Amino acid sequence: MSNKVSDKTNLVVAFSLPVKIGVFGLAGILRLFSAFYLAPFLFNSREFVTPWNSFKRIQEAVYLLSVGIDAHEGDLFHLMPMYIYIFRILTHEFWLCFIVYTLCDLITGYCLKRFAFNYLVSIQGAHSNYAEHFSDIVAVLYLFNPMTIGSCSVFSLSSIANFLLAIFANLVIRKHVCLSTILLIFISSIYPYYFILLAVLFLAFPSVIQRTTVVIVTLFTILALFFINQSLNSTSSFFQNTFGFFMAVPDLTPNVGAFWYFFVQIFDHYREFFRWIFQLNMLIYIVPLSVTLRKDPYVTMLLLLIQISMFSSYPSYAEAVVYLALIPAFSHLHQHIRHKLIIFGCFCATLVLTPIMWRLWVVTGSGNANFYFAINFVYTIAQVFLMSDLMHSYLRNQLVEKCREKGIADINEKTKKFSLEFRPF
Amino acid sequence: MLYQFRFLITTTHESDHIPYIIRDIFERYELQELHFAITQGFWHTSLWGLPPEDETPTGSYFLVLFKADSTKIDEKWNFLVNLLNGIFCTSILQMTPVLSSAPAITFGNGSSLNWRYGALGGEPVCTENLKSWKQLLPCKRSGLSTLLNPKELYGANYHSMSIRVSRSLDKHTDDWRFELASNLVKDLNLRTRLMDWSFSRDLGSSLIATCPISNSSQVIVETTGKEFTLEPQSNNTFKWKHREFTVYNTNEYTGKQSFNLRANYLASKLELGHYFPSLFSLHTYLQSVDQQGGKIATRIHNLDETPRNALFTHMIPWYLRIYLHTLAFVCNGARQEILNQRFSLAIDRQKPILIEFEIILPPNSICEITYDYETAFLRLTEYPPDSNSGLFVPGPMLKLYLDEDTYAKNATVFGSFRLSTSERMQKNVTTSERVVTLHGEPLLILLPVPDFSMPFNVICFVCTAIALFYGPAHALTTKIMTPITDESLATESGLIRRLIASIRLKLKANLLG
Repeated sequence: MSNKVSDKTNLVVAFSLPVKIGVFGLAGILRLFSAFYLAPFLFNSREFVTPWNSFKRIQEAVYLLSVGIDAHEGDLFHLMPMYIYIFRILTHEFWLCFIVYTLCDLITGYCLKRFAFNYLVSIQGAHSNYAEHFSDIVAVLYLFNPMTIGSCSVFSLSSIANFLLAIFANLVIRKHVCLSTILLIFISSIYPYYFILLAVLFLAFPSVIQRTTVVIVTLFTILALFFINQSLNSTSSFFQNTFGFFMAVPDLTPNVGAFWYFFVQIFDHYREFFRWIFQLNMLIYIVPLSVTLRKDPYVTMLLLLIQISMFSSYPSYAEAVVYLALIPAFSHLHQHIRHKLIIFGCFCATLVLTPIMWRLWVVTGSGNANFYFAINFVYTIAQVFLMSDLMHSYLRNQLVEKCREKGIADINEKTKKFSLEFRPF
Repeated sequence: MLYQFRFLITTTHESDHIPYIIRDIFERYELQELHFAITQGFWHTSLWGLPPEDETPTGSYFLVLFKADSTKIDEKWNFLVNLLNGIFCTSILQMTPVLSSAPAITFGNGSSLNWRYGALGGEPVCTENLKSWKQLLPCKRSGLSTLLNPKELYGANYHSMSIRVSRSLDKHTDDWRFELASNLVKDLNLRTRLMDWSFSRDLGSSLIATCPISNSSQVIVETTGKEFTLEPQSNNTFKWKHREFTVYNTNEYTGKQSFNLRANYLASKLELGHYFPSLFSLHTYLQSVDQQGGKIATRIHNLDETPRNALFTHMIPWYLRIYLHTLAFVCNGARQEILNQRFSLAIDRQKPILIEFEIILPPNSICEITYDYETAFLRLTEYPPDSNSGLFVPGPMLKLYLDEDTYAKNATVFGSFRLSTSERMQKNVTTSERVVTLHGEPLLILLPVPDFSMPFNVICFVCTAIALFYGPAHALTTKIMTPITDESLATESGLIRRLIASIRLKLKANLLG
């Protein structure tokens, strides 16, 4: 495992410090530009704004609090009550908001870079030059991804969730059990589907003591959050609006996920059945993925993040940016990805065509909902290919390892032959 | 040309004249007041003046006051809507639950008041409704109700039919007030270049017989200005403020011949005549460029010299998500304060949003109330049959508090709910402050519409995406990758491969020695 990565040191170019500072500075300037010129356009765009991460709804909830109405009485606000209090200061000042979100994004970029560096050095055993090179690519990919810049400029809550996620990844790789669990529960309180990353915690902390700590801290944090929010809200109506909202999928506003058009079109008889199927679809892959990838919890994390972006009920582009940025860190998986061109092409096509199709449908009326759904579907397929390719690549690497151990020749790039069977090897 | 029909029954004890069905409803559902109206056309306040009293919005309007101590009000409201739908042959079942609300301050303050209000913007009015409405009158073959003919009514510019019942139940008294009113605005037939009108020409028939059980049956004509002569003549005139009215008691005229009131204009030129432009008017419209969202705007004109207190109410269905923090009240360019607001938030598929607040209209001003909305996406079955024509949103209501003089300057018609026209004429009673309601236009909103022909296709596509992932995931997690070596080929695959593999193995063994 260690040999292959450090073999490829011939193409390594590390950025010098002024260049790195320039990268972060340019990212900040791009976000400034986007917040001024693109934000009005992006606020109306459904790929960046979903019912739960929309900044306008947070503003609405803060206003209702100031008027004395419980924001959870209506169906507009889908976060826990404590977020209204946290965001109360931010909603009135544009500049404060902008600075906070941009700083969060820049820090996220830096944290992802540190995570990639730590991963490559400690787990993969690469040279620090090599690790530096790839972690710089990770930072650049995160900071200059148009999806990230767009999410930051519409002040979407997913940017904050990504920020917490990057810190979480760093905490896990540095083996902080309690802190990483608490942070995971906080992320789940924003978007419940992130709870499946608990599998990563179980894989990363294998000893019994650590695992029991994880369980106990999880329960304790969930109870604490519940009590805090109940005391802020005086009723538990928020539960139905937050957790119940994601499970029941009542709001069928289009987004980049697979749920909305399906639930618009499905017949009423089968609605309940398919709702259960879709939510179970998120859960059933956790155990098989974790068991198959038990030796590398960070690849599990990558794959679970892709799954959240694909199959959760209200995804946006911001859910995809963390895993897209982290792919360079898993450089040992790159050579066996089979559909590189298709995936890249699909992502580019999605980024370009989705706004066009939306405007064709809703603004000009010359298209219909199928246009938007089609490009949505392309985005989902791209992620499906990416996830299955990454899994395949990982297992292929495992196969090569085992063959090398057992001394069987011929299993290399020349033959590219393997079979999938049930028999033990 | 405005025709207003009012049929009024007041009793202080149980009487057969109030229809049994109304009495039954009041008893069973513990009601105190019931207002129901269906209107076709829109009353243009800026052209025609203030609406005739007991103003009704376009579409259907249903307002009920339950008794203070009644329970299970929402259930009873549901039953009531269904019952009235059956009685009047309307299609108002969509009112519950999507367009019903419980106003807190609009129809009188007090937490013990159980008002329920429902409105539909796009209700069509037809002959069936008229027939059912006329059934409630005690005299069906005689009386002024025979002047109402469907053909003339439904070709009119504005036609509204309403029923208003109120009951005050004390220990000693059981006072009922039951009123059916119909307002009709017809264009005059100007083919002869004369503004002459008559019952037979406009309403299609003339009055043959008076209702025998009525206490009084009158036709009141406004003759302010006196540009025409009425035939048959009457000396019974009445003045109110600066307006004049001529009164006919119909039983004097319907004896041997039918009573066909005719007006002959003195000059043959077309005169606009006297009309009372209103000092107050309301206009509701949408500010949006796409089907995704926009603003709902209401413009209020106050051309009077004094500031006015007003109460604004708007009920908007849940599928337009209103952002209350964008609510703005701007008069002549300056932002004004909103006093005493009550918001009742919308719940998806269950409740509309109800916005009520009090404002002060500055003198000589044009004010605008705006709030942002965002359209929601409905399920396939929730779209109406012709969904590309849009969905109706009932218009807002603005209640103004006018003193008597301003009202007299503005009023189109003489009369109000609490006192009928003849009552007012007899007792010369005035009220110190009147409440006038202006209704805004119902809005027609285009919602973005999915493709209705695609359910199976969409289900197949999405399930394909899931299966495309499930297949490899299942295969990769339940099976183990094993290499294909020559030994494995030799033992497992087909005949030819086995032959080739065994030959290669033998060659290798030979080479290695």
